[in-house]
Amino acid sequence: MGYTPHVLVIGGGVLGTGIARDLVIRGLDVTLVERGALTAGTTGQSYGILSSVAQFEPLGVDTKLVMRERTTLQEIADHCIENTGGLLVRHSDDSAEQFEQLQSRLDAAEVEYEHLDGEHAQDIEPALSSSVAEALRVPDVVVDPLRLTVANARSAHSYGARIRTHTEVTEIAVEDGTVGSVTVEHDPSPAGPRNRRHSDSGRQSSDSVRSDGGTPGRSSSGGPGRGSGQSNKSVPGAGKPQFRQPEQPSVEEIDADYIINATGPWAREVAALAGFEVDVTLVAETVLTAYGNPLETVVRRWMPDKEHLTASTTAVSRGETVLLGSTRREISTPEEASAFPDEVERIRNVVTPLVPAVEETRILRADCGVRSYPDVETEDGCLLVDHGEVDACWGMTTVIGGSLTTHRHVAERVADDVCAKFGIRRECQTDEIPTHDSEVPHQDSDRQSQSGDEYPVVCECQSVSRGAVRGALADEPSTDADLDEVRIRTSAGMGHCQGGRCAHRLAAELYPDYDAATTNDALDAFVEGRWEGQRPALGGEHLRQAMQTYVVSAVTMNRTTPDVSLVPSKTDEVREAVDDEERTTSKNTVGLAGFDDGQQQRGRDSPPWGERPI
Amino acid sequence: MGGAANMTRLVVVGAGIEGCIAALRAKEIAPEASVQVISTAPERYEYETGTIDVLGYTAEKEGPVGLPLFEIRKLPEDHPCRLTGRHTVRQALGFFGDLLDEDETLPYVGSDSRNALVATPDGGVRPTSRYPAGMRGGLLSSRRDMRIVGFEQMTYLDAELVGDRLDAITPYDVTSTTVEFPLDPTASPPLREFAVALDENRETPDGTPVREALAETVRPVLDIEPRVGFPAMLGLTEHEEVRADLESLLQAEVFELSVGEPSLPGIRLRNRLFELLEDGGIERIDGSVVDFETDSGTIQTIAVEKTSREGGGTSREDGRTSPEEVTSDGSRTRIEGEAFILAAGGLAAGGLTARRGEITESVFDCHVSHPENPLEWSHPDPLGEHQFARFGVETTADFQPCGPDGEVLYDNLYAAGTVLGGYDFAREHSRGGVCLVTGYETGKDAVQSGE
Repeated sequence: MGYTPHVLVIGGGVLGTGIARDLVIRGLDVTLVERGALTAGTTGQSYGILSSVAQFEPLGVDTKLVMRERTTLQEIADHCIENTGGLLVRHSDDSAEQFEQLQSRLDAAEVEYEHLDGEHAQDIEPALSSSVAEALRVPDVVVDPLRLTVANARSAHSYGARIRTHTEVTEIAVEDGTVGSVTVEHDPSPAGPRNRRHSDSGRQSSDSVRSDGGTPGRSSSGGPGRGSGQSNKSVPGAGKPQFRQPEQPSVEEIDADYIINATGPWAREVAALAGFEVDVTLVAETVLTAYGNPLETVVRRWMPDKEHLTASTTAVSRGETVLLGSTRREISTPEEASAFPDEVERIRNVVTPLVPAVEETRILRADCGVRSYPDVETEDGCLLVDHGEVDACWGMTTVIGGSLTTHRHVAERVADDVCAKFGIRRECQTDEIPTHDSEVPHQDSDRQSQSGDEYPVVCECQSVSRGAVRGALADEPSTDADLDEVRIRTSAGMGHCQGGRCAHRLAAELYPDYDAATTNDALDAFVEGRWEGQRPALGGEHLRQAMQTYVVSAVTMNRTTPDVSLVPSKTDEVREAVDDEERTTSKNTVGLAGFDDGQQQRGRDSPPWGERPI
Repeated sequence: MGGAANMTRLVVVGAGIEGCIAALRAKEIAPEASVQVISTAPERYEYETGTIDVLGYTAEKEGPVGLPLFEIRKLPEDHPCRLTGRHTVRQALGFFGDLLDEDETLPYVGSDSRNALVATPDGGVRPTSRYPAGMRGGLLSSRRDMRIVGFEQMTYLDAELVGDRLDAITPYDVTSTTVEFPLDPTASPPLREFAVALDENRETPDGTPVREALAETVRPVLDIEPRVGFPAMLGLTEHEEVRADLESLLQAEVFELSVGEPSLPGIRLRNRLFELLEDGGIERIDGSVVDFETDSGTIQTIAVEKTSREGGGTSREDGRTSPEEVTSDGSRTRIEGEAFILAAGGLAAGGLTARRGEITESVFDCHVSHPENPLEWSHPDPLGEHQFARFGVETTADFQPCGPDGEVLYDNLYAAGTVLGGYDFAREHSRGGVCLVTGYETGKDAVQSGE
């Protein structure tokens, strides 16, 4: 053969990484680009349930497929999966008839389940309310979607795929009925082109980085910056560390033989870059993260909906936290997705009748994710739009739909299709080859205390050690200096203080590999990312934590005021600046002469060390 | 203090700085009065910096304020420090100074008129007025070289980052080193454990007392710096002794740098204030107020659910730091008072409660105004000017909680400290000043409020 087609996969969610993995294992040359960090889009906002019941998947999805994929993922990504089991419950207020219909549908699809009366359901899940009349015990499992995506990416990378985050596609050239080169902007700064739903703010920050040339020393995210670590003084003994500068933002063209658009809710925008139109149904879904987890299983209330979008009330156990959902509404662009304080109460009010202990949990966040579906029914809930067929323009396929549960299968379909186009006949192996371990190896800075704990700890809430943080930073497919890359690999900053206590310590791990300004930008970007989901949830108990974090940031850290530079005397400084026409004084210069130097106090009056007569 | 007969029973709800100062001030004015302090969340001192910040920033000025008392005139007219006036703020600082300036275990220093500049845990600068002697060596406003020492076993303070940042912004040299603390922790995080080891001067595995071992670790990296800073963990109860030992072993001034939370300087201040309460004959009751009774516009009694506390870093048996256990047998006592001071703190301390889009004052259900839509409570920027930082009770100019109409809610209720609304104390760096002056004033007014 000698010729290896180069495929560009756009989108770093679970599906994009799954497609990249499948293609590269089949021997193709693969590049994956993602605007933010991995999982920054839909994947990062998903419940993480691997359904055993197709009724919770988009309509039309085949139950056997769902079951098979769930089993496969357990085999290839066991380390990301918790075998919790699930309960489909009927509250005593709900229609028994509809519940029977659900049961008969499961029978027809040959789903294994166990019917339980309310009491037995409570035996299995003690947190259930006694108002639960009956339940079906189904073999649902919970997966960490962040780790699963990292696992896919690491696996793809180990086979030679290039995983490029902070890389946004800005142009797709079309010439003579063929898709040509793709222009991407790579912004490696921590606040880079984050894959936020609010693409406006993402663009803004990347523009502002460009406008000041990514100058180190100033915060590119507009927040208060800490001064640059580069000293202009001579340092005794010299030997200052050489800082790694994040690369400058760059624009380049990628010439791929084929392009896969796997950007989920953004598929329409990306396809439009090439002048194609695709139809995607977008649903904004708000999910709460609550601290204080009363649950051991997945609990879902069956609420059949006339819409083809299933509505359900769900509570999913994830470590110390529990995910509660959800409210859903159809939207027309991903930018419309936003969580609101009233949704917090609405969700809590529908979950509490099933799991009363939810009343006592503290809602940490309300995140609004965007689900995307094809507007036609397909048997795997997914539609491949081959623009060669639809738009008579060869070279690109847009993938619409697919779910966490079915993503590997969808990736297989995409890869089959791509391989067929290039006359390559290789079987899919992603169902046999285990994903790469997403447990990024710790770097050797960890120790063991006498009690066996690993230390030093950086994030106390989630017990994340320094070695784990450094391991995540060193992980190959991650973008330098983006702390979200650490978060998705270690869960740091996802506990009950949402990074309030650890964010600056996480950022400090970047130093001295990176300079102080980059370290500070990384901190700002991380704190902003954590803040977005917390704001809608601040009508309740979590406001206390938010206030605490604010007080520490404002008082102890003084991060709310501009950076200053200390000079012996401001008057002298101004005079010197006037003499030396090149120089200007900054308004943030503070003359020390006006401040207490420790000598003019009421207390002890002995001179300080260094000035004592010997 | 005037000819008015003093009332005889004062209850202060809250044992933060403002509560303690109010109680001590009341007792000073009316030594015969019974003063009780309800201590609900003494662990909150872990978040206290241990410094008293009178005023660090005003709306007019970008940089830190040099003369805090002078700049009080720039504050809004209804600001607590404006209401009392700078002379009273100075008196309150003097009162605090009389309590702690000459203190043997926790001396406080600092100039009343000029702010000092100290380092933040990430290498920034913040202004403060009064600070423990253990921080004096670390003043950034003192122009001497310094070295910052961090420990490999902890992530609270990245010495290199802090040192390099400070070096870049100061007109003198700041150098840094990270060393191994000469003990292995048994549990993580080890901050308290190391502090307790230093208090006890515990022996390291090779038999060297830990203070000496620490000095030996640091001495080789010391150049000619006249001052050496460590994360704030140099002992809990024997802090001054630990510091003095290290100073003579290292032949340099030894100081502490704030590390955020847990803040040992805050815990030391609590321990000292609580001792002062005890010495002053003020009863401290651990518990939380669960109910109160009123009669014709005055508060008569409060019901307190008592709690008992164990552990929480005070256990020194094996040096392990167990989380503090707060238990309650549910027993309630009724406490009568002629006057009450609400000093339960703001949102972070639990003095205010947020629930289902409502903000309430947690103890006496005083009026708290807030926008209806919780999205307006916070700013889109995590460090922006949040409305929630200004939440608190509204009061008259005499710090008596009032309704939206300005009417006093209870004739014998006063409010002090961060439970007061309308100001962003954190952004102003004025919490210490506000706590001192409102504690000082309400302590006086409450005991003089009798006929």
